[in-house]
Amino acid sequence: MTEAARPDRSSGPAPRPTVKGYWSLALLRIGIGLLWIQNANWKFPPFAGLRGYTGAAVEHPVFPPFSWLVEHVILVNFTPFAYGVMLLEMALGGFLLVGLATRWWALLGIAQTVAIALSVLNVPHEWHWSYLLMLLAHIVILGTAAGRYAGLDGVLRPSWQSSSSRFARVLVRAS
Amino acid sequence: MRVDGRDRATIVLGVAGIASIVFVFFGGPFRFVPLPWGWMAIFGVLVGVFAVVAGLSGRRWLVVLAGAIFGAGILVGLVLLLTGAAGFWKASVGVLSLWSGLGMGLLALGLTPERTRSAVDPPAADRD
Repeated sequence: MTEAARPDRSSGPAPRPTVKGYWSLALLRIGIGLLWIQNANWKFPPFAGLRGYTGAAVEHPVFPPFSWLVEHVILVNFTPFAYGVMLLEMALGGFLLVGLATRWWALLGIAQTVAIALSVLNVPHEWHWSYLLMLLAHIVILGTAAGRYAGLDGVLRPSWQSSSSRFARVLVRAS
Repeated sequence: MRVDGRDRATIVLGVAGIASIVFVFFGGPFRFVPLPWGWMAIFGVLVGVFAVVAGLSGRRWLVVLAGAIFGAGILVGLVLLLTGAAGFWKASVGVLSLWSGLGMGLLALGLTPERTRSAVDPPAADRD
């Protein structure tokens, strides 16, 4: 790698993206927010659809230890797990859409994407690239802190930075 | 009337709440917010209008109130989901997801204190 191609590791403020870059990152974050909103919608009591997809991790194993976890821990405690998934995906959609605490939610989005991929990647007719693209999109949102572009993180982060409260410090890290 | 960045953000969130009603009329794969016609559609528009008024007025307590009303709507929606209410009272997880973002966003905009340090101070925490 040449000197010019290396990433800038200086501790100063990150350079501002171009107008096109700014709106591209905002569009990506909003699009991924809508992805979660639309896909949270079919996860509601009694969670029949979610149970089927969760069981796919056992019927079509991707990673044997994960299949064991699903079979012996998740499926036997399915109801609290299902409510957790519903609430997590609800929050992922809402927070990524408005760009609030975006880096934290992008991290959770990565974790949830990996869990989904480990459940359904080997199901016949699944397009594995859809999960890889989801994963890559969340990595970009996390790495660029995309909530700072046309998101609430961009509006509120200066106030959090100027505050000495512990909660504000947490929000600075999360945004 | 002077509108700052927070007021603009409040207005945008309110407009998003109002605009969500278009998804009542959408079908197919681009129905990103699955919004059935009923109480959720009407509630979203009304609270959205309230948020716009709060943003235009610049009064933070109105912004907090708008966020709290969205929060109350989420609680009502979750109860309706659990009880299996149908028809006009049917709740949609997708809309509750949208409201979670709008509600928490409005609460954050209303409750975050104004910055206390000078605008020329170096951003000490911007090193991550």
